[in-house]
Amino acid sequence: MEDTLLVDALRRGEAPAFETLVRNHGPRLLEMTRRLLRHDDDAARAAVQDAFVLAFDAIEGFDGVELAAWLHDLARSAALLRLPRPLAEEPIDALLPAFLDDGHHVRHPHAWSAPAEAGAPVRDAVDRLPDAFRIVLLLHDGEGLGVSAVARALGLTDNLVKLRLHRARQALRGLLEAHFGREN
Amino acid sequence: MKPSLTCREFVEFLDRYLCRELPAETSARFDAHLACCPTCSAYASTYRETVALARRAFEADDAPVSGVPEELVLAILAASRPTT
Repeated sequence: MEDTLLVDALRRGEAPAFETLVRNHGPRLLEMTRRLLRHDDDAARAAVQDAFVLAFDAIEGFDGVELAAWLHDLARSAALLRLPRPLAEEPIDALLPAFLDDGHHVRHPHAWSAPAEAGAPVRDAVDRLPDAFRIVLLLHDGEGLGVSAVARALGLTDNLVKLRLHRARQALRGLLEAHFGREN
Repeated sequence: MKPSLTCREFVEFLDRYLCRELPAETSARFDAHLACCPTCSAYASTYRETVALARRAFEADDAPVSGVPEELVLAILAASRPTT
């Protein structure tokens, strides 16, 4: 069933439409909430349930455009609410580049390149980042939100989001270097 | 003429350099550093690769998707049962 017809059926309160909505859109939403909630399955399922319940309640006010994106936004917000606050910010210095007193690198980066099918090790490496960095990276590079949208979602300033994003990418680079790299 | 950048400065502001957020004069200093520092050139290259890999890893077509457990479907429908 097309989304426009599905929305019309939902507005009429037709029970099969509710089930169709959950079965059509639930898998992607659950995957996203699992990712944000570090594979805590109970919390991820609860966030998806919260999102659908909210969607069913708010379907009258839905503008009818981009149903998947609307549900995705609801589920993402529900997942972020379930993250422990403040977000964990363990030191990641060991993953960042080190410098001598004169400002030069301590060592030359190892050369590395990732194979075409690198998705799984990259996702595993992202999961190893502390939440304060992991969530910013997931929202910006994974979810495609802009800096200001990430800042609003997490209650941070734009500058802090930029700093954490840069640190997250540096740390991820360090993890990927260890995974894919070799001595030069 | 401002002194040349150190590697530490180059790496610290690499994201803003790559996003072209730096003033033209500063960006020119980054260009000059990149041209003469193989270590920072290698770092910048792998940093860019990291950003690209992270984006690809979470694209809809790449990330694995499984179904929704039946008990979750039932729980959602029970929690939001239509009133008609």
